[in-house]
Amino acid sequence: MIDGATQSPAWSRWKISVGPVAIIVVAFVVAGVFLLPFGINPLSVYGDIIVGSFGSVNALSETLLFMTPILLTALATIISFRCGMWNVGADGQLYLGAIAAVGLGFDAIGLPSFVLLPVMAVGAFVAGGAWAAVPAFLRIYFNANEIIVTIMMNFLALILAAYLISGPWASGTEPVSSPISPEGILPIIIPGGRLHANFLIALAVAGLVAFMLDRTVLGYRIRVIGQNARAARVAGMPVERVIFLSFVLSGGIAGLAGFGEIAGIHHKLPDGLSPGYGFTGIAVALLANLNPIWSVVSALFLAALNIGADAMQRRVGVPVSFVWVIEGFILLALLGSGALRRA
Amino acid sequence: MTSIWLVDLTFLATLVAASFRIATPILFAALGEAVAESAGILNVGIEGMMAIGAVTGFLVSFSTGGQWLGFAAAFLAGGVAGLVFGYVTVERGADHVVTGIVLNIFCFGLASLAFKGLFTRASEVPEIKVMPIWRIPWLSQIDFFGRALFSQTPAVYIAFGLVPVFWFLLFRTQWGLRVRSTGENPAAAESAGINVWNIRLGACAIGGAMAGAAGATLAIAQLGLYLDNMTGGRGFIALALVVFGGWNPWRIAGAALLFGGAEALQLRIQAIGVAIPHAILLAVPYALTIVVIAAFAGKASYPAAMNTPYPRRSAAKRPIGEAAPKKPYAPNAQTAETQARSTLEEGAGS
Amino acid sequence: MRMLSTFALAATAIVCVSAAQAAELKVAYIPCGNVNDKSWSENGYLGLLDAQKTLAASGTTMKLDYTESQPASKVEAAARDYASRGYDIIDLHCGTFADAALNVARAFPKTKVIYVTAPPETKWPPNFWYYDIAQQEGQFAAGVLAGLTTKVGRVAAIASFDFPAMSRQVEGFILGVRYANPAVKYSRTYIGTWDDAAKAKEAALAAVDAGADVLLADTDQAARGAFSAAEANNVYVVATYADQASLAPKSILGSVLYDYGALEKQMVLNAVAGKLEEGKAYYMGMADGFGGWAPNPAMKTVIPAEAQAKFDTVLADIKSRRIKVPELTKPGDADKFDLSTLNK
Repeated sequence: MIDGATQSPAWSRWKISVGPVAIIVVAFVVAGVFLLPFGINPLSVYGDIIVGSFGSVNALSETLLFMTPILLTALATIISFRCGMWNVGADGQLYLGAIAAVGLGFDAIGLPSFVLLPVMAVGAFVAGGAWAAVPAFLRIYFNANEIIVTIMMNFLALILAAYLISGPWASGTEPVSSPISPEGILPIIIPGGRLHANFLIALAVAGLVAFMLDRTVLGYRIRVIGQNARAARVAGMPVERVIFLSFVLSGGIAGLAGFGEIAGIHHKLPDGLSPGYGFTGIAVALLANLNPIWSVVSALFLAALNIGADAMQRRVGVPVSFVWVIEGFILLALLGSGALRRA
Repeated sequence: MTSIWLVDLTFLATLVAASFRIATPILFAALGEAVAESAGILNVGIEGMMAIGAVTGFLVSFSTGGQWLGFAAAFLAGGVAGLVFGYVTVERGADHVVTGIVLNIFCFGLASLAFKGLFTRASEVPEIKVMPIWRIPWLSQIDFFGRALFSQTPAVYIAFGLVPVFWFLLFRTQWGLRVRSTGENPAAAESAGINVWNIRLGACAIGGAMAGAAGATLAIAQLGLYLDNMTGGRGFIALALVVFGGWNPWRIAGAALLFGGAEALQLRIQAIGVAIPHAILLAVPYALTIVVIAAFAGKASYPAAMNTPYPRRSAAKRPIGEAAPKKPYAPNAQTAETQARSTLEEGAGS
Repeated sequence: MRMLSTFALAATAIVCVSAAQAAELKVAYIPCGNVNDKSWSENGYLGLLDAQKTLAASGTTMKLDYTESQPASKVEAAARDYASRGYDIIDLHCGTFADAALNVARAFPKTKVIYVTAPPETKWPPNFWYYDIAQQEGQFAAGVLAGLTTKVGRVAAIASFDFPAMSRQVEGFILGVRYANPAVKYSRTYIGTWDDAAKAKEAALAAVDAGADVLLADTDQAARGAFSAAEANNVYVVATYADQASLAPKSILGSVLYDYGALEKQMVLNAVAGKLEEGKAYYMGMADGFGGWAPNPAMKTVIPAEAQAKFDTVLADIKSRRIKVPELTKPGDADKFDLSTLNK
């Protein structure tokens, strides 16, 4: 599909190809073939997946709900990947954002909602950005591989969250922290469901990121450095500063995802907050060819796949591991098709 | 009480023995991953491959009654999983981290499904006989060392026995040199006549096979059963240990023992009746890895081309020996890694 | 004519089927783990299956569906899905699902939500009930048995996490050990996992190396690792959640049973009959008939007669409320507890 040897102009690499859609269809067909020996009708399975993700107010709200954090982590990934920095620490940065949101959400001062929520959001952004600043710093000054550092930071974030839940913020009954103040709860935007305002914030951020990358000096610098850092330096760009900034912005946006999970859904810090939102975000970003506007579409797709497959499992009665196999297979097919190439 | 356990040799012997036991599955996975990373492959899907190894090893042992057969089957199954990973990343250029995570999900699902599918009527709980302990004759009679080192299951001996083998393969053979060149700078390696893709695929297979062996160690050598999530995060610890050990099998083995020792110690401390804060202990391997990688990033052992897709095979079908064309490899073949490094170095120099 | 009668037959069938479906009770079960894990999750499932049988005998069809092994972050979505599809009763059988349970109950007032262990909040909606068993009672009795069976005077408790619902079991066990024989030494080890059997095995081996010869394995699935260690070292182990004697017949002294399944069955039957009282906490103990001990028949020759006698007495005392075992929720609480307050 993509011939790596020819010198293709930069823009065509980010062009959306029809490939992914075709691959998805083929993958579903193949997965369906595997279903037949179990006596399950693959068409009804697909129907269940679609119904389960879009077929009711509840289903749609759950799909958009899952889409919110993965869209934000995808945007975070896009910013850093476009700068040539492989930040795979969005999950950990999300946790730090969540931790900050909870900490601020306890509302020791007694702020009203319209002040507390922005404070929590900003705090989450700063916390996520700070967590990302560490691998950025280590990369710039020590040339430490940011992939490994961010992976390790993911684990450290998890451990930190677990420590806070069982220690200083313990609620006394189960592995969950004490609740935050009711002033720190994001409004629900679709009545009858759980969809909260961070969904709209995520869409807005997508627009902002697109704008930033395409129309601002910073965005231009990020893209150029991502293509050829040497040329950027020769052109006089402050390479280290831009790299650092892209990392921090990336972490901050991932932190916003954590804010949304806390203020919108949980209102406390639970154990196991993120079922891998950070990594799903990377898949979303790659599927969208690192384009922020297209990532809205790919986030919707992956969210629908996730929620729909779970709903299908409940309707058909297959084991949960079945869903993992199907999802894993489809994503592997997408990866293997070359639709998710980075370059 | 405190002074006794500091001096008590029996305690020390059992501690050392436990360290080796705990380290073994992690060491298997880490050795394989060290080869993979040396070739430039970052495989975070080790956990999933371990699960595949565990379930395959268990199922084969269960149905054939042969433990070694199960081990071998797990090794092969892991290798297959590694090749799947290799195909997607090396041949198709997919991002290593995402592929690894996706493979984890897929493999966990497959393992769970396979086990559940074969044992749905779970009135009988399937079990196999655990590998027996091999007391090495004469050596195991030695007072302290016998208990500490020479009374283990064969899996332990194999894992630690493979350490010098892997070291030799990576650092004293032609193949090892090719692997490390591929990981350092695939473009240069290719122009030197190395088949980068075959090397990387082979590295993936080895990584996967060793992860499979790790899973088999848990299922066959240590427990005699299969449970979902029995791998318990060991794959990610192995990932950290590879870096912490600087991609050198000896240091990795040392790191694995250190980790095993810490784990064995904290369990023994709890067993004596002393409570210790759990969180710090959990964080140590990861925090230390960050420190190590920051401190040693400039060293030669560091594979610069990790997680960087290399232009696909079909793009470069040239007879070996012919010089590779100079232009098409920049910027995507010259990795952001080496680029940024050289530009940062330039910046530092100017 | 043929067509008409076939049509009439079909129409009648459809009407009958939909009528039957209208009368059908839909129950959803969401546990922590797998429903065939021979432990915590299976226990609840068996109770619900039992309810299904009982209801069938009285003419009500109960459809029972389950979603296993969900991480806490995905449970609410699952529960909402069931509720929005008109399920009548949703049973969340995992101590970490409190928020999901309460939220779903609030969002779907027509669905009855039952949940295991006490939720952190004190105000809950009228269609929400929690059920719980005084786990510390069974563990207390087990501790008594352990304290009297140990030949070297050392026991070890191995558990997964130190959150309150788990700690009360461990502390109850230790209280029992102290009650039986104050001279017996004990330790607590938390392994931080439900499934990592190798880690449980290492914890058990560490305890054995420290000299313990009776262990408590309260680690859900991972306990099988502890059993493996016990069998290899000829020490005894107390199992939890289900009768697991068949897993390690030479080592398991017996199993502490909580009878959550039986309680869930009652909850479901009461829910169907509309007999669940609003705002009532269904916290049951041995005196109410919930909780017990599954002895391992192979241990009859191993357990000393006095130990067995004392154990039986203690069990009877708990059942008759002559002994009240306190719910201690922090690790270490049992060390200083005044044993004289146990007997009424």
